[in-house]
Amino acid sequence: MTSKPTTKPGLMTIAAVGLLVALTGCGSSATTASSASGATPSHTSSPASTPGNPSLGAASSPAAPQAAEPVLITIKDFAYILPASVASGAKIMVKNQDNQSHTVTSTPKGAFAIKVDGGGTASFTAPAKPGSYQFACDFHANMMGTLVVK
Amino acid sequence: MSAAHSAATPTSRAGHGQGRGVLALRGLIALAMVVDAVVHIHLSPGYQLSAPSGVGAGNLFRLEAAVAIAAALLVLVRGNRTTYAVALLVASSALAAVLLYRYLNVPAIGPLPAMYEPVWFLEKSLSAAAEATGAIVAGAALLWTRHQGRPRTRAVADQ
Repeated sequence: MTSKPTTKPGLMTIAAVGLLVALTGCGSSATTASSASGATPSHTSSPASTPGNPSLGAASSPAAPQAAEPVLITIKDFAYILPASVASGAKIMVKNQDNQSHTVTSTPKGAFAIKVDGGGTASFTAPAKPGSYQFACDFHANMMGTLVVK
Repeated sequence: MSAAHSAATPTSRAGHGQGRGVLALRGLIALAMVVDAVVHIHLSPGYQLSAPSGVGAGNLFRLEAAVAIAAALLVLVRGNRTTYAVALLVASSALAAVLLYRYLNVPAIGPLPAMYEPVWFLEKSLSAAAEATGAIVAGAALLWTRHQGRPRTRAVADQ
């Protein structure tokens, strides 16, 4: 059951390279689908600590922060589909793919609030102050999300 | 019909137990209808704003709540075939509607707005469970009263 020493150096090299690739290449900053769960990351700084985002040493990976790209929040099937984070003061487009109206309203209110008709789009400006902003739909209390502003 | 009803009480001692059982059934139906009504009333303002076309989803919710309360009162005041049938109709139609709009993207039809909502959440699930309970218990009560009625009418016919 023990390994034979003959091919060991080659195997070890391949394994080491594979491990290195696996560790460095998995900094996936994939889309964050936030819906009814209400999981809440705490304040500021930590890299997109929303659920589903692996947080091992991926902080240094080039995660392509949305600089001037239009930021899009999609509402589909009564759930918010969010980018991992948005730049402070960025213009955020909200596209509602449901046939009922929804809102994106910060909780507590004040930071932002917008109504999007069924099948329509609307936009608002992200808060200037970095942080995690919880929001919900005024019409459907089960719809919640967290907007991470950097 | 009323004769068949009042005839359920007189003779047997088991009648008392049955009476309590029927009372419990009626209470359960009424409770289910009230839960359904409360959830609909609570959700109605938001849904009126999110789906205002036609009469509006919120107004339909209010209508559903009013009908459910009426059915609950009817069953509480008088437990007979008619009131059980009304409760069964109200509960089962509400359940059918919530299931329909949960799984089928029904467009707006006449005064009815498009109310497709492909999710379950606590309040919605609670009202659907209440509607299912109300429908099942009202159906059972209806069957029970039919069974109760049959031998008596036969006995009367035999005489």
